[in-house]
Amino acid sequence: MKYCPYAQRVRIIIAAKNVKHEIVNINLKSKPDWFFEKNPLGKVPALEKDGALMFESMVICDYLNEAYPEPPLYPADPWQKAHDRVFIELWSKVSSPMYKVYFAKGDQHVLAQCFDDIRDGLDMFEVELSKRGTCFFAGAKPGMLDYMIWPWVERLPMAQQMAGDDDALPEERYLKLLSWMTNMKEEPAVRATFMSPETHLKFLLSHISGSPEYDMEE
Amino acid sequence: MANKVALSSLVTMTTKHLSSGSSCPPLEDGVMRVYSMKYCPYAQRTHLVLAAKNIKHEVVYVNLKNKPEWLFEKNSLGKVPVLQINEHCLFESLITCDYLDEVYPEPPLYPAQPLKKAQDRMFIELWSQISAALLKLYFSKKDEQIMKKSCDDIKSGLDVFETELTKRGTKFFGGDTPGMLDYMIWPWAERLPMVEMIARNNGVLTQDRFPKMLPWMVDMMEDNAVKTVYLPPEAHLKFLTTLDPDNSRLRSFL
Repeated sequence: MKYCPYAQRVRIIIAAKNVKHEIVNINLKSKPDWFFEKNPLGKVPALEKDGALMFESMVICDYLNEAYPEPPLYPADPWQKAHDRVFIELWSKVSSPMYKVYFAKGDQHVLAQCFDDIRDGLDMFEVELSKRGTCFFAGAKPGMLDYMIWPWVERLPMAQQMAGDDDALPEERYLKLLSWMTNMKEEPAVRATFMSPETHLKFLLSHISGSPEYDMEE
Repeated sequence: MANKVALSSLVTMTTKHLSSGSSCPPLEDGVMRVYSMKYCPYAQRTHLVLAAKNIKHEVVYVNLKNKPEWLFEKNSLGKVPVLQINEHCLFESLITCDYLDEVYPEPPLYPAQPLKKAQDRMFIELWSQISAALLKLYFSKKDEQIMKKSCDDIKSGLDVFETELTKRGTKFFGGDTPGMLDYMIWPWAERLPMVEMIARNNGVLTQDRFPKMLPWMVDMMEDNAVKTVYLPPEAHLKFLTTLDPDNSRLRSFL
């Protein structure tokens, strides 16, 4: 589904690895029967190849990284790789409160709590990026960690707008992450799937209203 | 019935469950240590892989109801398992297990082909229907409604695995010997006989519904790695009663 951040993870990796592929979008409010026949849990993203179907964004992205080794998206050192995977898990500290923002219905108390949580989560990544001292988490070029967190980072400006607080994510608190964001937006794999905050907001509002406009004009 | 985890020759040091106010036992350079809780199914996954790979290690148990402060220095989420070597700490059970599989390649626990490996990882994710149902059972009031729902969820979750094991036509999901998928799901499978004990009429492990999974459980219990971590249903039940001490119905099964 075009606006799903988990599906975006897969599309980013496909772009990074330059893999020829087809995309079949699924209406998540009204899933076609044939989709359940292929994929009993009816989830997206799902990858189908050679008669085998897999789902779970991390499983798919790791599969693509192994099946198409260039460029390698994880560090060669097993501990560094595991450390990156831990940080991918820790990203839920940011993504979970973001969902709560979307469905807060303007409740200021909820929004304030959500942004406290988002800021605490982002602090961990700001510290980690500073510690690494590199342009991207992976080094001179983005790797799996950079790409796996990107879909939600792309949606942060929209979340701020929904909260009506332009200073929810103060620049001076996230200097490293902000320049990382600028650099990420120049990366071909990110550009291949990028959507503006306005587009994200337009879709999200349609989703909240109960009538998601999957095929909307952007 | 006295229940002791068989201290395998791989475990070079172990502790009682350490609580708030305790100090963390010092760790020597180059020594592998896992922070754990004896009845935690997630930590049991890491123990299984350590045993399967024959890795010498220390075990430091922690009290999860009264956590030692130093646990949060190793894992900001304050959870077990945590794997530590020198200053490096890893957490999230699957990540620790995959790390061990990479650093200690023998025996390999995943299929060599990326597509087959991805399928196994997907099935590990699918098991969450059963682990979630068991979690609900552990941490909710054990009334009839919840028991029945949990048992129904467990059974429909197991159906997927029954189908897959039948399709593979092998003794274990990993083939002739257990692989990562077998080990990652084992801790909850081990707890199912305990669920049988307390579920009354909501039988979970029926022969007609699970003609492949039941023998799989028996075969897993013969595996050396499983034998080092195995706890019988009575031990699991006893622990469950300590989580819910006012539940006289539960205690009646002891």
